[in-house]
Amino acid sequence: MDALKITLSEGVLTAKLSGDMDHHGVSEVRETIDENLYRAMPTVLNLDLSGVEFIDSSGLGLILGRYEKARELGTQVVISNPSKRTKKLITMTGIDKMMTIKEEVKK
Amino acid sequence: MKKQQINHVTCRFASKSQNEALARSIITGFLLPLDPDAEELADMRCAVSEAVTNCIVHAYRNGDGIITLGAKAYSDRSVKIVISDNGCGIADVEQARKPLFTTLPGEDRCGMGFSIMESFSDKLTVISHVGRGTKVTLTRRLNDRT
Repeated sequence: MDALKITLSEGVLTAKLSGDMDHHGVSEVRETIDENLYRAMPTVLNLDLSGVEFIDSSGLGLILGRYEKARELGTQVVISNPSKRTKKLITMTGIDKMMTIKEEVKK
Repeated sequence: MKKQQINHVTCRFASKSQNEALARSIITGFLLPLDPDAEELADMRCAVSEAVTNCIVHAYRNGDGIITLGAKAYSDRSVKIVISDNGCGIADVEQARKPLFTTLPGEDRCGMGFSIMESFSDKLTVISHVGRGTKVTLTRRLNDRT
């Protein structure tokens, strides 16, 4: 399974992250997200966390780092589909107050 | 009744980022026979990951080093986990434990590692000596199982 899948559609750059968002995992995807962000200059950067199995402060650092970079470009950051566990850490650290969290509608 | 130690493990591994997942696997394997609930297990995995990452990123500055992970389980369902290194040490532990404090602000470090460890432990102690290393001890009592 790829740790990162990037798609661009109608001004929305989606970075779908999978696996472990720890210090090891984020070091492998950080540069690719940034390269695509600066190249596409999207209206929205959508960090899709649906495939994330583990996250700690390194993963949260990746989100905050992209938020800072996107803000400089005038790009809005959206976090989508976090698991219950991921959402707990996002809420604990106040990241939910900085950016929009979108959850998948359960069918 | 005085609590008794019922199990213990000590592991030493290289300060490499791929060993963050190894540390989580070790602590998962140690805790599972104690039948923790999913939340407790996830909390302890995250706390251990934070401590080990600190060793790699801060203590050894992504260089070579050895990390020691020890865990003890007691009859009252309390667990003590010790993560130690022989790295650079922390000059001001109190400052390091403050939320959002980081010595590496330009590297996506959010400064929440110790705060997360504290949130997921009943007790967190940090003993550090500059130039000699740091020892982090996490204690948590698991919920009683019916």
